Amino acid sequence: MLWSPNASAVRSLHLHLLVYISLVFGISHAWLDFADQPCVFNMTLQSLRPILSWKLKNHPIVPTYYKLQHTIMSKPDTMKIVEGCTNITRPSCDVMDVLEDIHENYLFLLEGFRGSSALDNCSDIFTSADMYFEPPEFEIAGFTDLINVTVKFPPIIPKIFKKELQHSLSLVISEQSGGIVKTHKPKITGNIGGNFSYVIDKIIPNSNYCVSVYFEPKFMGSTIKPPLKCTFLQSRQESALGMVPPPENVRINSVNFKNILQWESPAFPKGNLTFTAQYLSYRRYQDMCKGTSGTECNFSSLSKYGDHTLRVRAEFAQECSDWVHVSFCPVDDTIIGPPRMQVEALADSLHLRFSAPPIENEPETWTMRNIYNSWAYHVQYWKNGTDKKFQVTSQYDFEVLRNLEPWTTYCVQVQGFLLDRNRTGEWSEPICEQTSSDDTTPSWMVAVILIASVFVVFLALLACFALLWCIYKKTKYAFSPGNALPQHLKEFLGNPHHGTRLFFSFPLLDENEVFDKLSVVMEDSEGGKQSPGESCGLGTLSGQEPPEPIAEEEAPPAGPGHALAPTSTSQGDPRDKDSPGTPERSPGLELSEAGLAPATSELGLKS
Amino acid sequence: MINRCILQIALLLCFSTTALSMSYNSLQNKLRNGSLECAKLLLQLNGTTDNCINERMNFKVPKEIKEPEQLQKEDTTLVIFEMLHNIHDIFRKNFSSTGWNETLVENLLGETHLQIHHLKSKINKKVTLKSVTINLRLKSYYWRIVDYLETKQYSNCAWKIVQLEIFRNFSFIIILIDYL
Repeated sequence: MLWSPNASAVRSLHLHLLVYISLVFGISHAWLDFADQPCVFNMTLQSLRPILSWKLKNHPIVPTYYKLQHTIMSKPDTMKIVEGCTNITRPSCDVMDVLEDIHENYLFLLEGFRGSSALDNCSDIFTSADMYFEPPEFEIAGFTDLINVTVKFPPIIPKIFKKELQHSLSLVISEQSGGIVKTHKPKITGNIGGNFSYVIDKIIPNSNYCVSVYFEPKFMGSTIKPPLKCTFLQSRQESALGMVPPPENVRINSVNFKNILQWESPAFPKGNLTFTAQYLSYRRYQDMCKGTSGTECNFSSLSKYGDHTLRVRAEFAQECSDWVHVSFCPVDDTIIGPPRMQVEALADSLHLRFSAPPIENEPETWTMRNIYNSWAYHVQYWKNGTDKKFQVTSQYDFEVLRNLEPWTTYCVQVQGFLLDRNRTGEWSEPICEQTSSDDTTPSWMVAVILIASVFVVFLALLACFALLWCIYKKTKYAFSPGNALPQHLKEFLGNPHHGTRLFFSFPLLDENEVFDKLSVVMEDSEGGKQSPGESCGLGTLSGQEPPEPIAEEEAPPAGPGHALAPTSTSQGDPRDKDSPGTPERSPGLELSEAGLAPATSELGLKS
Repeated sequence: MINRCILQIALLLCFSTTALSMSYNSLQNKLRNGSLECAKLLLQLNGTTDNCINERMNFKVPKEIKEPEQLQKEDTTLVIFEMLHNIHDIFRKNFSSTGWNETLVENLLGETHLQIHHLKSKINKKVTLKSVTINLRLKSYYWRIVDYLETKQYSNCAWKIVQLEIFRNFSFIIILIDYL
């Protein structure tokens, strides 16, 4: 609906009024805005409990009581009343139950009332950056070598920190001494409650230590400066001068790195003293023997190559004597004990075997030799009863003493020796052994024995051969194949023509055979000496002169007789039995076949 | 001789693992310092004194940010990276209505950029379903913030609400860094 021109003036008036009013409102709003912050808020965490406090700026009207409301900024939530902070007179409020999430930004609205009329209110947004962490309460207890710090945590950790305490906060314990500040950050969890105990042990005795404990938020927030609590660490010694005498004659007895600190108890009329022995370890002294009533302490666990300071004092009741210090370097000061030795006598020499002394406190079988590079043995030996001593040095674990007299007792001693330090150890106990005879055989005897043995062997062999030969001879007939033909006969027989002739010229007597009678008339009428009875197996023969050499027809016949002839000289002619009547022979006849001559002639006729 | 080789290899492995772990540790320290610096800068931006209660908006922070203990290490890296990236992008928008000190905003942008740079090399380029989901949820969260700013036409109250929300983001980031 359009307005009439008359209304234009009204319109402009309305417009002006509107502007004026809005301006007023705006300004008043602005004023209100400015007046909106008449208070200053403060959020502090007293032992992790968030306490919101406020201070009113110089306002003419002071409220009698307050009302607090809260909300969060991340969601358009409604304002909620903080329980326990409604109609309060004090300017502070415990908002532990309100703050639930550390990541949230909270808005607090404070309303002040005077009587029943509401005064202006102020509000502020709180982020985690606006929190002030007050340090927790703590106690320290100082002992000689440690400080025990007890931090008092609230029994219930507020919800805001409970979830991720270690992510949002860290507890810092700082110790200061002599200008050096060390911070400790022990781990804390959300379940922590009540008292939390922390021990600082790496401290220098006899010095002043100051400790402060505070919270350090991991994301924004500030810490209120923590207080310092100091303690002076005193050693237990309450030196009443000269009351308790120190131990006497303090010395170190070290053999093969077995280090024993020994002392003597001083004269003390009041009673029995106890002793404490310590060694210097880096910056402080550590106990080795505490409250011992003996007069020695074993320091074998000290490192070999260190330069150690040991100290011991006497104690009686609560009083102690002064410390007696001794410095000691094991590798330089320890005494080298006697090595072990085994002696064996062989012929005219002695074989020695050494073993270095073992070291205590080592897991494997370590000996002094392992520690010292230039380890050597010094050997001393002498004839039993004499004084002249011979020296031998050996770097190895064995030694042979040669060219000793046989059947003599020698005594041997060994000591360890360090070549580079020129340091000797203790002598071992002497071991005496007797050498046996000189077993070496002279060479001529060896040669003689050799030759003799060779000779004996040779004879034996010879005897063997002779025996075998005898046996062979005796038994050769048993094994041999029989007589063999002489060579010329073999040749004869070998000729086939002769062979058959012989075969055939060896006839058997046959009565059917026809002979021509042949008679030989001899000049010698005594030819009839031959007995007529004489008959040869060969037929009729009459007195012949056997010795007459008759031309043999075709020769060397009467082979068999001939052949037999030589043998028959010794054995007699088996065919001669037929001619017993011819005892005499012609002297001129060389032929031994006297009996055969007629046979020969007979034979000659046969054809 | 083989024994010596093995010893050398073992030593090398030990050193490299130590070096790698230390590199991650130093990344954590860098990020932590950077985030604290950013948060401090953020708080220094003095805008309106109005508490802007009526302009509050629930941007629905994704659970990946709120509950980091369920995430794997690579996912945590991705979440922090995305958050910083988006925060950087938000502050590049028009904030003239707020009256903030521009140098401070420049410093804030520079700081976030540096942290993004530190993280870039540690991001796992592999695209998995999980990484895509996380990406989407984060992006939609920051889109809600940007959309809110646009709707409110970059008014100073809207910026204040966003400033508070980003401050919250940084407090989440500090927790996330511990899970790296």
